[in-house]
Amino acid sequence: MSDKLTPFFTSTPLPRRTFLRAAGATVATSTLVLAGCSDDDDENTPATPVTPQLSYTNNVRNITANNVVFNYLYSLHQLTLAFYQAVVAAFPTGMTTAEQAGFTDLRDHELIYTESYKYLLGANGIAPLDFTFATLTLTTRAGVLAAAKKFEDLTVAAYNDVVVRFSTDNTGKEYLLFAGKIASVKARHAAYVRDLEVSGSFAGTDVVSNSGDLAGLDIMLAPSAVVTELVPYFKVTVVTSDTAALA
Amino acid sequence: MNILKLLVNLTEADPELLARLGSRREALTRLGSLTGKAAVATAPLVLGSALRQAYGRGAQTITDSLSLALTLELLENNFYSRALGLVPNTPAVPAGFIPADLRPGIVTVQQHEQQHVAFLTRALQASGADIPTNLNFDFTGSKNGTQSAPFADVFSNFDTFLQVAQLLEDTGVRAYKGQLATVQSDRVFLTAAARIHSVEARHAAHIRTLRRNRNATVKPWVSPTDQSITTAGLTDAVYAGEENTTQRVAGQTIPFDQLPIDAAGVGQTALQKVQAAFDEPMTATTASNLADLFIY
Repeated sequence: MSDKLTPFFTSTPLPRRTFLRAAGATVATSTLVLAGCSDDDDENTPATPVTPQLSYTNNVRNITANNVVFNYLYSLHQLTLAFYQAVVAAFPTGMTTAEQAGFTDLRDHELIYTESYKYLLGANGIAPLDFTFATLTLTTRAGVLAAAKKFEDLTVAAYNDVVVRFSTDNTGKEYLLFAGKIASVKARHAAYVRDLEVSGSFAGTDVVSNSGDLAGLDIMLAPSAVVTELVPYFKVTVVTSDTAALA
Repeated sequence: MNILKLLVNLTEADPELLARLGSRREALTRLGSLTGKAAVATAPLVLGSALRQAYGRGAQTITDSLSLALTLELLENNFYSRALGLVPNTPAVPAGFIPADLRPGIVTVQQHEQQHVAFLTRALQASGADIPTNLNFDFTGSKNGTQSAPFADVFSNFDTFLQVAQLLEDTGVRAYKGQLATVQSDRVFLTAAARIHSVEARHAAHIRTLRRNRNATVKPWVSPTDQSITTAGLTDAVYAGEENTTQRVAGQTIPFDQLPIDAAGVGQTALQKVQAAFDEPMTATTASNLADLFIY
């Protein structure tokens, strides 16, 4: 087999729930293994940890900028939903009843967003993803708030970035408006969580610049920067560089 | 200044620009025949004029959007500045009007509004458009005493102040959202509008949290369970349409009543969360009319 990485980075749709897996050992010998992501272990699987990869064109039949961007947003909401589901399933000590109600709203909103994107994407959607929050401290209020703040601010940053990635035809305008309807609620989430953590920090200088030409403008991060921040939580290696829509 | 490079960049960002330049093409052709100092001296003028015309056509133009945004930001900046005692020649607010522990948050909001004013002013000046000037504000809603004042104690009762703040911020969020499609062809303004839009949403959530902490029934997100603070025919347009539970995108209507979104097992109440989960846009006309309540 050639040592080309091309199969990872083409925009060829892949079968549903199929990921390209490359183990460290196999990469060393320049061999790529195409494997399903089922749990059954292959005897030939090397001992080295295996990290499946996710491209936002996986399983996308109609690869348009609009669909790729929606899949990217869909993955962010899947992650945030999984996080809030974990929080709501076992609230940490110290969270008040009002805060628990607030976080239940956050969970429900994420469920609505995730199901909305799933429905809208239909046959053009990536597969449901698995996540791990092992590196987070979800047993304390402080740990939950810090993690929620990170996820909400990152999603706001992502939404502010993607506005220019939709097509400029009527379809693209509708995608843009739909994303905009969610973006401001995500900013409300972020401000709510931040104010819980430190009262008055709803728009701290770490997210809203307070000087220069861009003073007063909210955070904006490219997809590559967003997924880099989220590496510890995805069980797959997310690739954004292989699509023009997210590059 | 490389005019051709600039034009190429502009037309890449806005493919329809050349079509809208229309009669200015001749001028640009003449521009192309100029050389040396003459071209350098004349180019910005010709180009500025051409762009002004190109962006100045149509029902709702980019400069219209920027102008509306600037009007709203001027209004908000003046509102918070007065409460902070920063506006000369206006009645002083009572000592301790803003509780000391809440003042830093209000200062943050005011500074952002001032920064938005500066940004939008620069943007409008760069595109050669008129800047809204000489706006007079009356936040009691009495239009300088010419009608009854729905918010007579706005600068003496902090709860009234927060109510007006919430109305202004939620209006701002909806107004910016309503302009996204209009400014889509200009990547710089689209990005800026999105980034200001989310800051306004952060403000709105903060103001709502402040009200909630003072025992108002209100969530950080616009919810049907929020206690009403609007008056029919006067301010109800701020939330008109937010009760929407139908989301339609590119020919597809999301069937919320059939999707597994009821994790809490609350039945139809789940649809209330759909209302809260999406902020709806507002037209420029609605936003202007709402701003007009405080401008005379």
